[in-house]
Amino acid sequence: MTPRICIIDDDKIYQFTTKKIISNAGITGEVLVFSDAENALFFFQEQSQNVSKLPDIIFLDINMPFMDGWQFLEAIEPIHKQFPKPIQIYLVSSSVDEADTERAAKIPYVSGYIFKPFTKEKLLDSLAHLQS
Amino acid sequence: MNLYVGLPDSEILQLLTSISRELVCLHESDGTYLYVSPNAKSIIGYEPEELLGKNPYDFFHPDDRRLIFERSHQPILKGEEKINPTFRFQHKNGSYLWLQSDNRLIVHPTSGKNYIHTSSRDISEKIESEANLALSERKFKTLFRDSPIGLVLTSKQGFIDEVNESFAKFLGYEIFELLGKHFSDISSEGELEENLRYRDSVQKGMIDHYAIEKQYIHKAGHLVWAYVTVTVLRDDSGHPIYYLAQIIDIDERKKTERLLLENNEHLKATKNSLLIQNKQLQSYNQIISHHLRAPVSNLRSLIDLLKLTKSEEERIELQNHLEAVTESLETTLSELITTLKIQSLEHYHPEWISIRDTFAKVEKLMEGELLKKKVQIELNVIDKETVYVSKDYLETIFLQLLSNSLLFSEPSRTLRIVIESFSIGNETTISFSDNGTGIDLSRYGDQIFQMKKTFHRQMSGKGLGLFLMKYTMESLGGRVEVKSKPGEGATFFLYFPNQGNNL
Repeated sequence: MTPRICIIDDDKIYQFTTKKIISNAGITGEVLVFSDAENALFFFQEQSQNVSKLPDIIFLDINMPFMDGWQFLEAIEPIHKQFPKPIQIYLVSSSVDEADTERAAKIPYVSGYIFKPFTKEKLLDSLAHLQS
Repeated sequence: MNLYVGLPDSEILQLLTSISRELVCLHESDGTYLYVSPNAKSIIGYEPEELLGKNPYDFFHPDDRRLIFERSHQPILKGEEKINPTFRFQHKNGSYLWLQSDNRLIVHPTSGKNYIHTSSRDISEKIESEANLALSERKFKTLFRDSPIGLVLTSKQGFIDEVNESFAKFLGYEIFELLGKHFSDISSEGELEENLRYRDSVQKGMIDHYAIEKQYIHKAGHLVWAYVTVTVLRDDSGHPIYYLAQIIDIDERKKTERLLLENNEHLKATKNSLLIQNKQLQSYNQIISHHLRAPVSNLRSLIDLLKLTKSEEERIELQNHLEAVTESLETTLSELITTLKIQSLEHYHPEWISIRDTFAKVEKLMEGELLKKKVQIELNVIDKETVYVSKDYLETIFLQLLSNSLLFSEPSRTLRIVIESFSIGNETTISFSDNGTGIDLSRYGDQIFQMKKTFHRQMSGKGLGLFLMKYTMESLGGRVEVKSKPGEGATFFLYFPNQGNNL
C-alpha cells in the first residue's frame, strides 16, 4: 500500500525526520512537503479535482508563521467536501495545551491530533484508520 | 380743693377709677378694704361690694403672702415710698393673676390715721411671655451647652461668639480659646472656598442653610473631617444676624472611606497585574509548547533515527541536525531567560527619562543605516517630555521600533518615521509611525506580539523584538498597541504609566 502523504510544517528538521520515519516504515510513495501553509493551500485549490495529485492524508502543523494550521483549516473548509476522494487531516503539534486539542476536536474534518515527536507508531496508527 | 363744682368728691373718684385700667383700692392699715374701684369686676371678677370689709391677704397666693407683708405692707406703714410689689391674686373664678401695684401711705389730715392706697394692674400676660422667653432661652442654653453635637454661633462677619464643649473638645481647645476667632482661622484651606461661597449665598438671602463636609484644623495641627450644617438666624427685616453651625465628627468615617478607596485602588492594580501575569503565563505556555517542546521532540526523533541507522553517511547527517537543533534550543532558552529577567524587574531602576534625548542617542547608534536608506525622521516631542522608565528599556524599545521600520520599509518610497508624545492623566504616550509595508491586522492582530511570529515570508525576522517590547511595557505597568494597514505603514503606541509600575 502506498498512500500519498502530505506534510505541512515549517520546521526543516521535522520535515527531515518525518520523511525518514515514513521511508523507514516502508512507505515508498511520494511525500508532499510544504513549509508554508499558504503554498499548500494554493496546491489544494489548483488540484482539488485531480485524484492522482491529491494526498490521502495530511499531517498539518499548528504553529507556523505567516499562515498557521488553524488558518489553513479554515481556508480549506469550502473545498474539503468537493475533493474526489476522502482526505484525512491530522493536526500535529508540540502543544499539549488542552485549548488546542479541544479546538481541534470541534472541527469535523479533522481526524485526529498527534503530539510531537512524530513516531513510526503514530504514523502507522493514523494510516490504519485510513485503510478502514 | 374741689375744682369740679357740683360734683361730690366720691363721684369724681368713681368716674376716674371706672375708666382706668388700674384697680384702685383704699385699705385700712391692716389691709381691710375700705374702697374698691368699680372696674374691679373686669379685673379680678368681684364687685366692689363683695370685697369691702374683707382682707386682701385672703386672696393673695399663699406663697406670696409673707413676701407682700414683709416687702410691701410693713415698709409702707413705716413711710417708705415707691413700693411696687408684684404678686399673685386669686380671681373670683379661682385662677391667679399677676398684679403689680403702686402702693403708698395716706395719713388722714385730722385724725392722723393710716390708710394704704393701692393702684394695681394685671401684668399676667407680660409675666407669662417673659417667663416663656426666659424658659426658651434657658432651654437653648442647655441644649447648646450639653449637645453632643458641636455647636458654633458666629457673627455675620464670621467671628465666633459662642461654642459648646463638644466643638471645643473636637478641636482640642478650651471654649474661651475659640471665642473671638474667625471661623476661617480653624478651617482648612481645602473646602474654605466652597464654604465662603455658601455663606455668600446665605448673605444674599438665596438660601437659609447649607451643609458641607469640611476639614477643621485641630489645635495639634492636623486636619479633622466634619459634617457641618449651617443655619442662618435673620432679623425681622431678613438680614442675617447669626450663623449657627452644627458640627458632626466624621473623621473616622472619612478615614475608613479613604482606606477603602486606597484598598480598592490597590485591588484594581493587583487585578490588572494578575490579568497581565495570566496572559504572560498563557504566552509562556505557548512558548514552551512551540519553542521548547518542538525542538526537544526533534531531538527525540533524531536520536531514534540515529539508533536505527546503519549508514555512516546518514549518521553524520543526523549528527549535524542534532547539533543545529541543540544550538537553536540554546538560543531559545537564552531568549526566554531574557524575558524572565525583564519580567522580574530585578534590575529595573526607573527614573524620569527624556524622550528626546533617548531617541537622539538611539538615532546616533543607527546613524549609518539611517543615512544609507535616507530615512526621514520627524521628532514631534516637547523638549521637557519625560517618561518614568529605565534608560536601557527605553533605548531598547526605540532600537527595536527603528530596526522594525527599517526592516519593513516599502522599497518604492522613502522611509518616513514620525515620533510624537503626549500626556493624558497618569499616562504618557509615545507614538511611533512609519510608512512601511504595514501589517494586515485583521489577519495577524492577535499574533503580532507573540514570540517568533513573522508576517512577511521574504523577511527573516526572528519575531522576538515585538514580543520582548510588549513584555517590557507590560512588566513596567504600561501597554503597547499597534495600528496598521497593509501598504500604508504602521503606528505603535507605547503607553507609559507616570508613577512606577503596578506590579
